[in-house]
Amino acid sequence: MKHVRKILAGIFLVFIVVISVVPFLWVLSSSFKSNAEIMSSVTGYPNGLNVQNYVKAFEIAPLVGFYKNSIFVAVVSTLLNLLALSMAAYVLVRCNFRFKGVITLLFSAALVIPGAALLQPLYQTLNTAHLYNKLWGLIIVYTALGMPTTLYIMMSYYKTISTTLEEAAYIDGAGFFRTFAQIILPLTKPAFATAGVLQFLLCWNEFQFALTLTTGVEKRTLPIALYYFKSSFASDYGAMFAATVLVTIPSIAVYLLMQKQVISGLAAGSVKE
Amino acid sequence: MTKKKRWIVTFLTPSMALFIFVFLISMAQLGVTSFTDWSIGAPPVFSGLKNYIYLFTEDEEFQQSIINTLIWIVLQSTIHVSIGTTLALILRRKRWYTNFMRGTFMIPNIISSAALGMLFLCILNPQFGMVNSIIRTVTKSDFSQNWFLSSNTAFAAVTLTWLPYAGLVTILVMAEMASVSEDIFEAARMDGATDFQIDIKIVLPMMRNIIGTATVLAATSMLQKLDIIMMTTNGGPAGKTMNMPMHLYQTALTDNNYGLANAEGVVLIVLGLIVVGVIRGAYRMDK
Amino acid sequence: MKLKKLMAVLLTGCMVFSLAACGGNGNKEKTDGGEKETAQETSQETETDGESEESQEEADSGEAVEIDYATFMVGSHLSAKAEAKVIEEFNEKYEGKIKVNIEELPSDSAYVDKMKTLAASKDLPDVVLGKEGIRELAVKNGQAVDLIPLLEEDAEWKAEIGDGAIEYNKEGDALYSIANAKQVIGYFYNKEMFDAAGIKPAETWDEFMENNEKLLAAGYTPLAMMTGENCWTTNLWLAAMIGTNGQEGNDFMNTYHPDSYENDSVEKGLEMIQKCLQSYTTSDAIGALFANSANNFLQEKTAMIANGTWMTPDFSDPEKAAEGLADKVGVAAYPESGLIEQYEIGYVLCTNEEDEAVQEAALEFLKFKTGKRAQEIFLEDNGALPLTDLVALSDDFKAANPLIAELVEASNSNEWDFNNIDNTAVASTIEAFSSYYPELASGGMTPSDFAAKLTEAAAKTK
Repeated sequence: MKHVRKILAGIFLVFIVVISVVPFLWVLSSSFKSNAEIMSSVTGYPNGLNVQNYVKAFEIAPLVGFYKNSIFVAVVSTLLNLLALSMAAYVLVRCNFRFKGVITLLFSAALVIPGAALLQPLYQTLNTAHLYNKLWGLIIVYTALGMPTTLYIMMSYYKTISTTLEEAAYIDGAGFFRTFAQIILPLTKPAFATAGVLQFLLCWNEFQFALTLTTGVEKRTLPIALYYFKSSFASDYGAMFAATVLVTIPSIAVYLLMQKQVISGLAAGSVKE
Repeated sequence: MTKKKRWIVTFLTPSMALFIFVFLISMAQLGVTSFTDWSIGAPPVFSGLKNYIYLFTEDEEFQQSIINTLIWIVLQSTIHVSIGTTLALILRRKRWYTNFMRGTFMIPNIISSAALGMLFLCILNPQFGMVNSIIRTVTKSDFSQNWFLSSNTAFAAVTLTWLPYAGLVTILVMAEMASVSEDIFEAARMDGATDFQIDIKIVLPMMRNIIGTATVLAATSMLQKLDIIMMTTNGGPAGKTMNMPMHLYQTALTDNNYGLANAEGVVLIVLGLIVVGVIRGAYRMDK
Repeated sequence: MKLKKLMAVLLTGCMVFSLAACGGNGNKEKTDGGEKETAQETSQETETDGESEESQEEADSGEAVEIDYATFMVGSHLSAKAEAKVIEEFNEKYEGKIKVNIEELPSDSAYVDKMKTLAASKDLPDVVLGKEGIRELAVKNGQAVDLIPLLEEDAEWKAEIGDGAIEYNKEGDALYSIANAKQVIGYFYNKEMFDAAGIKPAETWDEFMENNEKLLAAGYTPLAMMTGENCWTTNLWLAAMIGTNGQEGNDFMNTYHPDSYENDSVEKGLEMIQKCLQSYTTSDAIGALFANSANNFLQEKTAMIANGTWMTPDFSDPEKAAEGLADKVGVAAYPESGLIEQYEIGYVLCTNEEDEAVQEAALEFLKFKTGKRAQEIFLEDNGALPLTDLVALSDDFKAANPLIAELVEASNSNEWDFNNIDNTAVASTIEAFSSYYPELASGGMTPSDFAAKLTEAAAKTK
């Protein structure tokens, strides 16, 4: 019985590795291929290490400027998102007050509002608030878009933390804020890391709002760059995949960094009962 | 106001402000205009329940899209979440491959969907795609199947572009597992429990809340899924892979019919809240 | 400790946020420091909040008038170079007087989506390309300007546009867009394959279908088709089948935004297309992108592809085409001597209700963008055909582009002229084509059912 389970687990792991690694390898190898090669076979090796696509990627799309914008937007928005939502989630889990249910329901609604229906109203709101074509406009929108996910993750995590710690802190005379900042926050590192990765990826990969809410080249973010290689009669897929590799690598790095935080959280010891 | 109350207000204010600015204003507009005749370029005119009546009595493609979306939500809440949770359980133990696995399983969730869409188009291409080539080699026939656009395989093909990619579920569950004390497992092991028993009897129950959360996120992601469908089938053939966000997008930006699209948006939000409510109930998440 | 670090970071974030909030409107976000300062140094001139007030101010103070323009001809787009050149020349000519703020919208679908969002708020840029229904929206929301009086005031410009293009885009007595190029579209074929099959370009549709059989028998796939995106290479054939089906069919293919597709010509055409999709094209045609079908022809996997003259440079591009393809490609008119001959929808002037300085500046830009010089640039760099004979195809150009020259020659003597479906159909109908072609090809739907679906879809566009 145990062996069967082991074999099944092995097959399962191999399956996961294959479906996870193949896409990246495919994108990577395609980034060295010409359009014709991409459109003709899936497996074939590229003819040598043709770095031409990477050169073209930089020529065709304003990658450098977009990089800077993306980093700024993603970092600031992730910080703001974690800050705002870790606070909101805390009181929603730990405190009892009127409207608690209503507020949780409202925030859940944010999870199910279709993006396509938000485009037009959000454009109008930002335009009225003079935030159209501003990186800050994008940051605010992204901070909000990732709201429900972060909220849910944080709420779930707070629930697992025993209340005895806080009670002890109160007895010691610590105030509400100090208890939150000094007792609770350090325990939620894994949740912060996880929610942070998801929020970062959201900001890093989002296309439609970035396009709708900005107009100048100097205010745009990386996902838009990928579309510089698509046009009705002359899509350059080789260069597109080269750009995709360049766009993906930072997010993989951020992910690995955050994963380390989660694992070190594990080493930090137990908080649960 | 007591001191604590003031803290509660302070803690909620930033999120509330964001919510109002980005979502509430838009939702109000969405709700109001769903009762109007409103197309791009013309002012909205009140039309009562007309849009809703049309959606539920005449718009067969929209009804089809509701059914498809619901099926996808169910698949995602069950199979997808199970895959992610299983992986997290396996990676709980330190093995030689653990670090490698932790680094890889999330990659498909990181790559931009524009690239993933092209990947699936190429792998499933009937002429040169890898899948058909393998089947051809194995069966030694001139097998050719248009996975994305034959009416009998389209739905399954589209489903497979996201169903196995449960990296999000895995990292959520893993993060929460990180906080469980090793002592608990030690004690269980002392009592003679096998790893499998520990997983089922101890870990899973402790993960109830986060699995519930992962299920909520996975299920509601089906109410946002747009880009991959747009790149692969565009909802075709004949609406077989149409989901609600795709239909809404087409109604708004292909047909220019904002009033109707917003009515679809309201239906989608209501449906989504019901789904969230059901899942929260099932996992007793309010406890 | 780590907690302190975290708090420090979060607090910094907070401060940055509040600073920006104070610095708010109008002020450049110079104060908040960090890496973004560099990112924004270049941006100051092009801030566009409160566009109209700003430009008014500047006009008053004698500075350059700012106008907005959006374009999808960027990145890998075929016209990207020509477009950049035209704008550069305009900027040089009007330096210090007019400043064009360009919004780059990579990919056609991104362009259409954004324009529709802007149109709903009456915020279209001052000059836009009116394709895919954008022009109609600009008229509907009141931004579009009737261009007839403006053309009457400027005889030179009017001559450069020509009566043909003006008549083509007229709606009743009004004209809301100026074409920038003419299109002549036939199809390309692989001479080697045609020779091997012992055929020549068909003169009737019966012969066309027989040719397809002969090509198959000789071991070639006849047609490069696609039903993804806007079904371009498939719908060109369909347009030709309908447009050459007597006067009735030809009238239909010259009808802008038809209400109904349920007529004999359309159904007859669809019947042929059904046969072609089933037997005469590649196995990946259903759902294929343009890139797939183009590649199938360029890599000599099919014998024919319907497409415009802009494809000709690809035949000799080693990155795209099989070696030696350029010498094997011939161009022909469709059977029954038909050609797609149309003007592009072109540019719309969206300056109604704007202040006068902007109106004038935008008009100058429109004139330049559609005028003789721009037509020359687009012909040279892009092979786009000019609107009138004022821009001549030079002998050098003809020698360098024999296929284009041949097609232009053919367009002087062919019998049936008509539009392509992308031009005549509304967006909802194009969507329906792509959604239902798989069913038509699999036989799950008859041509008349298909036509009924197209009619139904046509009613959806508002």
